[in-house]
Amino acid sequence: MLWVFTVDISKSASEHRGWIVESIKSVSSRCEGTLYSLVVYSGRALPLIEVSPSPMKVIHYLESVESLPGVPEPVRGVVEAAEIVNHYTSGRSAESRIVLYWSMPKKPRLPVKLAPTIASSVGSDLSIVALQYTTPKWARKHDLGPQEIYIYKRRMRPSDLPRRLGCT
Amino acid sequence: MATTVFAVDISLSMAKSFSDLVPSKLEAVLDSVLTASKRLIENRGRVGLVVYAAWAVPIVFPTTNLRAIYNAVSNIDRTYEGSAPGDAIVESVKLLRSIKDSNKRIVLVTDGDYNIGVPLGHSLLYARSMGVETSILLLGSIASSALGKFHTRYKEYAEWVEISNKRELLAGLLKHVEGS
Repeated sequence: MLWVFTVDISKSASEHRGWIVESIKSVSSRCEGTLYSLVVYSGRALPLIEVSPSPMKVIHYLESVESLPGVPEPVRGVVEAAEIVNHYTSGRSAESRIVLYWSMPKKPRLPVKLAPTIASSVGSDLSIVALQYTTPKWARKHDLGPQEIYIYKRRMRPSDLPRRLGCT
Repeated sequence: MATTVFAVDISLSMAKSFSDLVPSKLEAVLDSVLTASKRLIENRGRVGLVVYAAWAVPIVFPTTNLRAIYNAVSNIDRTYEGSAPGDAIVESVKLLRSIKDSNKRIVLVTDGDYNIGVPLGHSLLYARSMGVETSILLLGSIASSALGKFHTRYKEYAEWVEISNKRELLAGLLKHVEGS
């Protein structure tokens, strides 16, 4: 199983960085996985780690990377994540999962409802960890795509994320 | 087999001459890249090519076909606005990700402009995580260039080389070829 952690590193997500790191630690220790990737994004996206057997490498890089300017565009993050999934799993039976963290400070320019379509085009499941405590005012349900893919941070400890992602 | 991706700055300032890099920095750099590519391929290496201004585009995927590199280089006949070296490094790493060689290198040749795109530090971090070594050949003084501001911060992430004439440029490019 390939886990692609796709992390909002805009300034608006800075306050959540510690929570994100802790949640990745929890997921990597309690969910089945053999390979881990890290994509970071804000107004643009780039992969930092394409694949590694070490979740600690993901954590180390995430702790050391500086914030990026701009309003976070989750679709750009998903595109980079999908490229990695496509590159490393095409023709193979590896399963993959994209976990996208998003601070939701403003409405992005690219429609977020495209994100699950992009993920499914490479055979990957997408979960969006919404770092807002409540649904922001700008967000309408139809802008965000299906609500089932959202996991809101509200009243959730980092250690709860594996369960919310369906890991036993 | 070693694979080298040359990432060449084609921003507007590269149309000017510098030292004995005439009639323009860009033409002199492309001449030197061709010479280095020929040597690399003769040494059983592969070469890829990325060009960048405000954007970055891979124009030659890693190849041993020198003709493909000549053709690509001969199509670069103008310069463009903006300078995004971070994007160039990201695109170069992507070119190298399918390559199984243990020796993978990016040689970015620039006159030091940097005003847009992916932050340099992020792109160098990506290159490092992918096991790709990066060299930055800077035409002119590191200290007085926009890119040079990042030298102190990221000097461990890349080899930084100041180039003051064509002989040094060719030596800088060939250093990696002969070391491969």
